[in-house]
Amino acid sequence: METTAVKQYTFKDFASDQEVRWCPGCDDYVILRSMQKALPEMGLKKEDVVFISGIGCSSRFPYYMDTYGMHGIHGRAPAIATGVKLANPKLSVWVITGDGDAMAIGGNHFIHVIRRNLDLNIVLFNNEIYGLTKGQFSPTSLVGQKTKSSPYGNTQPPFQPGELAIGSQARFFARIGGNNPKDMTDIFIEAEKFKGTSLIEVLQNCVIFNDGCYTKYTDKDVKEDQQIFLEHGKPMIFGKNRDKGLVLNGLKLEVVTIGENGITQEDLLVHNAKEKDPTLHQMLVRLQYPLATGIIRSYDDVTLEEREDALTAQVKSNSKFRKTDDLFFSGETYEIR
Amino acid sequence: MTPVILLTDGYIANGSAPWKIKSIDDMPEIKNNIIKEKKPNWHPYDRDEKTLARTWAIPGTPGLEHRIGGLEKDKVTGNVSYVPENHEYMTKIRAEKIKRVENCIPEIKPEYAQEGDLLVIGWGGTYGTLHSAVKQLYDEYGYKNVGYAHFNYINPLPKNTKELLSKYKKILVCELNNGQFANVLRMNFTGIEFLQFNKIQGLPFGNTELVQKFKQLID
Repeated sequence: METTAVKQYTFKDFASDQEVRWCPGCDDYVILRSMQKALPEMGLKKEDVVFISGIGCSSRFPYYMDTYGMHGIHGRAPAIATGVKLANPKLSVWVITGDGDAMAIGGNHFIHVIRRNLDLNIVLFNNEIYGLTKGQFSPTSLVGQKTKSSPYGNTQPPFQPGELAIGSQARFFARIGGNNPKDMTDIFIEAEKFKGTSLIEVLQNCVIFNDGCYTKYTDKDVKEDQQIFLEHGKPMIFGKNRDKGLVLNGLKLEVVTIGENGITQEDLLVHNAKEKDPTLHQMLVRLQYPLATGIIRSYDDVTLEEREDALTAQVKSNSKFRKTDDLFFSGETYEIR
Repeated sequence: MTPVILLTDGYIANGSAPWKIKSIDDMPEIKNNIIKEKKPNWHPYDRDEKTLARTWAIPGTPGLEHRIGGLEKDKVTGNVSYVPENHEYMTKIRAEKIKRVENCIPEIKPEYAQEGDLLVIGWGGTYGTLHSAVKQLYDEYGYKNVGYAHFNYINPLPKNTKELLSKYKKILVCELNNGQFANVLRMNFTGIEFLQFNKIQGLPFGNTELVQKFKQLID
């Protein structure tokens, strides 16, 4: 990023004048406002920020940001974003997607953009339902979930976005409740700082078609007991009384209580988001109690742009092709006289 | 600036022919409509009066931030618009923009008879067989009243197409399908009769069947 002075923006500078058309009470508003608050903290020029979306409720997001934006094709935002980023690597590129857009329609684009580790950010609005099309089950809908397309209950086991992402070699994965704007804002800022593909899963409540889907984790009364907010270098501790924590018991994470059976805070696991080996990160992602939130994985690795630049420089220095015509007239050509 | 759909077929894909490689210096320049700095009263959906092409503000250009996408847009600001009249206007102007591409493509020029009793029409990978059949008829059998037009542009059509069609008594559209191009022509030129010769066997036209068909229509 250029180091010239950047105007000091406020969240209003990133809000477009368009009427927001999400349902009243939707968590999407929280995500929108959190992003608008995070952007002024990133030190970016407004013209260097691009939001690219697919299709779905989430994907209307770019229209509400006063930045460059593209409301793209269903599931294909990562492909468009890849082109935008490679064409101009100084841009801050954000993919906005939903559970259906990312993991059903765009399943292949999703896993491959993560695998390639391009320096861009993906915000996945996971509401475990197709909202825009009025309530069909999605790849993250739970088994047994009754929807418009599964009136007797869904029979298809869901994806865990983090599990799929880390299985695709994700270097950065964070998860955050859709009703937690403060931490969400901070995570967006950290995602932007991270060099590589960062995926942020937002547990987004759909007030119309899947209301309360995360209540047991995100409600104010229970969230401290049901969520563990992970911070790099800090012990894995949670609970209203900060007396619960995680330890490793064999190959499983186990919840322990400090003060019981001789357990002290020193016995708890310390979160290392920067660890290359994703084993523990996968275990954290899969954990049902407590639900892991915060930045679960943040492992620095070579980006696709760095690999591309290195290869381009190497080929340029050795190649016999100096201009396009050299390529045109190379190989098995002949001339009829 | 508009997307271009290139139609091809098995005959083109599997055929081969020598062709002269052009130097990049001999190729026409590709000009784009990129706007590089903020101008007063600039709007994302401003259009060039002649071509109706919009300017193109790319990410990274200060002051020109805007959003594009599949939802209908206001004709000036480019914001999402649900105004019925705006949708009608935009639908028509998009069609008009494509129509005006006819000003950039060559007019169609028939081979052999420039007017007469029969115009054979083809497109795509049928050029070789149709051309040689018409040539045989014209050169060897003395049918100086047969012309051949091969269309390289389907939408928009060359702007002299109607004039061309008016110069022949019969028009035969030869296609390796069920008559799609014949229907396009009917849609564009009502009142003109388009005869069809179709083959859908996964095989190219044969010379004999073509010559026989053409003769049958003239004799």
